[in-house]
Amino acid sequence: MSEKACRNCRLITRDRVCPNCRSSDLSEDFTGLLVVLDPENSELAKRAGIKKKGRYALRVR
Amino acid sequence: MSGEAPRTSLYAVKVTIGQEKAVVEMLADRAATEGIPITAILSAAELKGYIIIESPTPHHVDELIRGMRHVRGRVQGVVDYAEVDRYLQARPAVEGLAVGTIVEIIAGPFKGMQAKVMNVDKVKEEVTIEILEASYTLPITVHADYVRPIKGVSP
Ligand SMILES: [Zn+2]
Repeated sequence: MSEKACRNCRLITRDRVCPNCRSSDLSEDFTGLLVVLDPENSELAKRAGIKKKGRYALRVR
Repeated sequence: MSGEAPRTSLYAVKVTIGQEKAVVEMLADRAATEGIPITAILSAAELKGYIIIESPTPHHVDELIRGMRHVRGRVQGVVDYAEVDRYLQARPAVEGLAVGTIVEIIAGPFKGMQAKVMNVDKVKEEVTIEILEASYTLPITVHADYVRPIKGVSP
């Protein structure tokens, strides 16, 4: 399966359900990439509202 | 603790246009495998030819990008967090758009033309617009990302 981004938490995944928030509202139409390596110390993650490590889209349609 | 100043800074790195995301993925892998203290790496669609790396020091950014394919070097100085905020917030595409708003079309066949918003669909994030320069009125419906409100022109 191609990569999709979760419309709820923006995590990028190949699964049919978001492994992060369990939402099944996923979209193939997304742009941007934010890789969070250290969520506790990342100001970008904090400002984006992201609390877990991972690869996230910046914008999901 | 809230309100605490971040212990990291943002550094811009110049990369080959079109390779931004690939470079982000490669650098993230390298940071993880080599244990380089990088907290996050970002590529925004609007930011062509650059990526943003968040790290406690510029030294670690230099260590991370050294010898990496498609990397052209770090830009001197730091990037303000406020400058990247607009890429991070999942702001609704229809924000700032209402019936009567004058917009500029920023993509598609009508790019560069001005139009008036006739309807806003918040759920679909679509707007129905009428192009102002057209000799006849033809309402078209486009994704809200394709238009931008024109500053200083209020309905
Ligand atoms: Zn999710």
